Amino acid sequence: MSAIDTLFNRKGFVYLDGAMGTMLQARGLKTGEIPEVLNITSAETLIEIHKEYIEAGADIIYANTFGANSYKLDECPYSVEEIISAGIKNAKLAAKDSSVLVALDIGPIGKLLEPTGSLTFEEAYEIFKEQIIAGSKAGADLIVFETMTDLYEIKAAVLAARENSNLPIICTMTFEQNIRTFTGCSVSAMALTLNGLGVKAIGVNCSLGPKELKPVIEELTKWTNLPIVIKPNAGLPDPATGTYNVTANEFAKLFKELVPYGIKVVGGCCGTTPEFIRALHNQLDNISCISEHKIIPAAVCSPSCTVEIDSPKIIGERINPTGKKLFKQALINNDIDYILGQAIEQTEAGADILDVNVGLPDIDEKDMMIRTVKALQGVVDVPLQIDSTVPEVIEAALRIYNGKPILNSVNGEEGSLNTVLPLVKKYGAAVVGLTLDEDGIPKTAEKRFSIAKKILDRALEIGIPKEDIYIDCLTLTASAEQENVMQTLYALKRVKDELGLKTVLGVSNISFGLPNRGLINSTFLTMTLQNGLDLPIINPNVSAMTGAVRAFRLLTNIDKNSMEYIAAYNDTKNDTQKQELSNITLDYAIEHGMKAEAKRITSSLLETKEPMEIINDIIIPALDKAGAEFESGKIFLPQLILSAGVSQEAFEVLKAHMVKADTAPVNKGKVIVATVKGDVHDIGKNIVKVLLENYGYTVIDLGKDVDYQVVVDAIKKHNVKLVGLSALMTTTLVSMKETIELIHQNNLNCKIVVGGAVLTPEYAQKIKADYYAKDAKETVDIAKIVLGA
Amino acid sequence: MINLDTINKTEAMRYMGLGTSEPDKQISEIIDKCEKQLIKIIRPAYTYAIFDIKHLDNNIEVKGTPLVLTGNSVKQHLDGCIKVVLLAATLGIEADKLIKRFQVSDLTSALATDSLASAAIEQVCNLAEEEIREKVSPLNMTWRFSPGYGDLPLELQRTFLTVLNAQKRIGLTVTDSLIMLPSKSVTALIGLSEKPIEKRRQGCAICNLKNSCQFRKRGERCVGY
Repeated sequence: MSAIDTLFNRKGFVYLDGAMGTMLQARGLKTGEIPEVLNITSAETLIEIHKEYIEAGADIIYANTFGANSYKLDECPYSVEEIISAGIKNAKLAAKDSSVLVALDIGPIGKLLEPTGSLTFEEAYEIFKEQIIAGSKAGADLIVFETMTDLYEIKAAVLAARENSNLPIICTMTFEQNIRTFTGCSVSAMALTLNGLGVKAIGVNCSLGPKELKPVIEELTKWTNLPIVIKPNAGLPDPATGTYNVTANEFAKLFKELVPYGIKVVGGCCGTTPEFIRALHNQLDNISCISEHKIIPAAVCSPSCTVEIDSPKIIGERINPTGKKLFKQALINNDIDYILGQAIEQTEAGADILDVNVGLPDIDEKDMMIRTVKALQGVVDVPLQIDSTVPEVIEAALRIYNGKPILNSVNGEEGSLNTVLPLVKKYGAAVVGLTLDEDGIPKTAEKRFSIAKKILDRALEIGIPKEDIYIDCLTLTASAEQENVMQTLYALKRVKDELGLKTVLGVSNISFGLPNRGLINSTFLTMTLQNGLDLPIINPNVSAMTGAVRAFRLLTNIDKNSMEYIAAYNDTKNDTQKQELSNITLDYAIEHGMKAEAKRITSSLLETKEPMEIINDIIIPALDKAGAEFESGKIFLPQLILSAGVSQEAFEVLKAHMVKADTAPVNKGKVIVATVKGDVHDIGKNIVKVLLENYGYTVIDLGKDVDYQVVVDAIKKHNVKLVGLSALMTTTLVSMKETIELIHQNNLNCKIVVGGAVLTPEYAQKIKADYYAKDAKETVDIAKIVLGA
Repeated sequence: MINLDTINKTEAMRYMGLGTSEPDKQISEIIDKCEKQLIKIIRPAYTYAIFDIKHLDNNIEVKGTPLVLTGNSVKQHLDGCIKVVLLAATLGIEADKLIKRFQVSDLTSALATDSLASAAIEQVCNLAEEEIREKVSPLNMTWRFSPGYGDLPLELQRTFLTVLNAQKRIGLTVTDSLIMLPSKSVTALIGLSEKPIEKRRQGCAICNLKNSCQFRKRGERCVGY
């Protein structure tokens, strides 16, 4: 048995050390200096502090390596490896002749990760990897990730640790009084994600005292069977003086109240000293830890949204190119915004989870899946279901997913079981098991049940917990195999009752080839729910489908007091009234910001007019009018954007119509827009984009923080004649200048228009832009000059 | 925990480019809706610390920290002060997420929420200032002065946040191009003086954005006096 297992297997508590920073500050460290440098410059001091903690009874001491990463040390004369090996060496010297273990201590990198920040998941992984390799080489006994607030960052850290060392891992995150971390991560999301990633113990540290952390521990214990770590601050600090408000004895007494929640590993964070660790021993030495094995609820999550599969929950099926021309076009054009729009629409309609399928023969599915999952997680909170059959795509998606996803799917074929299940296990996902095998979909319920059983057994064999397996008994098409429709339901019921597994089912296929498909779909959905379906995969935008689930939840007393139902349908009456009221024209709708009206009117206009007629005769004149009024100060930016938003809705209707009719799309020329490298403000750029699209230009949106070369490559690739660059900060104007220089160096026949809050016409000229646009309206005017109206 | 009950909509509307005009009913409704949603999701937080300062010939040393304040504007600002308060405040990451989400689904709401958030973070700073005023009494306080104002370099942002341990305390970070994330955040320093502080106006003269300022173009000012 390894030293750490011996430690964790004993009946009593495992003791960590207390604060390092507090001890160093007491010895004269300046606020804001890099404390890890002292590993080299004041090794004796560090050894002394470690020894004090060992004497106080710590079983594990944290080396002084918390901030020793390449980002924080970039201006430091020592390398990451030098600082870490010195840090571990000091701790080991202090611990020699004892059984005390030395932890490589790793804190947050110091930069925010994507999607909000600019540090990518892959970059974060590399930064941690460097620390982990240095720490293992220096002889650390275990790795601790602590004070983490971003679930994505800690996932990168854990993967880096598992793939670059064999050391046990302890993870603690930092929660605020609202029981969330600063990035919005919930306790359940932390536990659900880390439970499956093979760590030794999880818990909390810093931010609050033991008293304030009680609700966090209470919540955590529901979601994990791993040993729970708690390393709180000495109460709360007074910002003016920096002192903490809890004494060592009070601190330790508060721990006693936490024992019933199953805490196992105890220590102190900011403001604590060896006295606190001694006090913990005094209070806890005669008490045994409580460890009972609990059933963890079946659930999946994003950092901020946990969906417990304890009653029917809706999986939205719309992010899938099958049979959707517009979606295919969006994938081919890399139009992520289109996919994001689909996601938001579904969640607003009531989807609890979104299925994500971006498989198309002509595209790089892996790259598209990574970009789509990352982009989706930036705008929607709901957990995702990764839908692919290609192992490389599956692995890439499971790896970069932030939280615990569902993988759709594995099936009873040997090949599938052998390749997919290990990935599910490695990344701690939940998995959909399809009841088919080498012989296809069995006709009988009996056979499908036995495949479900096989999938369950194989999953359990490699350590995937039962609650993470969701069985799909497969819907057949009623028009083709009417006599077997009920077999699906029989199998479903048996899987649910006899195997005790959660069930999932794609519902919409049932009606294929029949008229009035909605009726069949919603009726079948109700039947499946009655037979125990947990996760219907449906189009949530169809109100009869979402409605069937809501009604079922109400009638089965899941939706207590009909709260959800009433919240969903309270406004219905008003909506119909609004619609009946209107008898208006499209230009009126554009002028007055009436989105729903514009959609409706555009659809009916298409019965008598060509799309181009509608664009040229109604939409553009209406926008011109709004633009003129904006210039003259009669209306303001919000109204202009509102009008643009309405035109956008009308355009969507026209686009869908044209794709259906296979006519060439509207294209008055291509424009690239980008927020320059280093800058993350993109609202202005997005306003420009919408307005340009409204005038019929095809906009290639490169997003924000765009590398110079990416702009140049895109100009070449798409043969674009106009590029718009935006920058909001004085610090990023330099990037704008660099981008323009690179474009000129490449001798590209492409005009450049620049805009952004800090720009002036003079500066635009100085950095050799062709045009300066003071606002979105002016960008359209410039596009007209360069590309023609 | 800090809670905002309302957001200063007059300010937000100015940021939105509505000037001082009365917005129409539709825009007002959007603003109201966004205000409610924003208030629900933000998690305002601030942290501050008080340090002695040492006036040197060309700069000001913040004692006990590696922070050195350079430039004439901060020198003027802290003239006669014996201490400085470093303040960092943020609305939290949820505000960024909401704005981002609206950018996909409804740009007008995105603009409204962005502007409301800018107004809200100022309110959070005002709350922080009230608390600080009580703590430091009877010392007098200057107004808030931020890195990037006048010739106080934005480059000291990173050290500023490190000294406050701002990532750990309030989740505030800064990118390589010196943009704070969460983006609706403020850092500022406030001078403390034993003598009453001469009421100096926060004029446009010291502002780096004076040549490109949208408010000035419209004949307005960004601050209410």
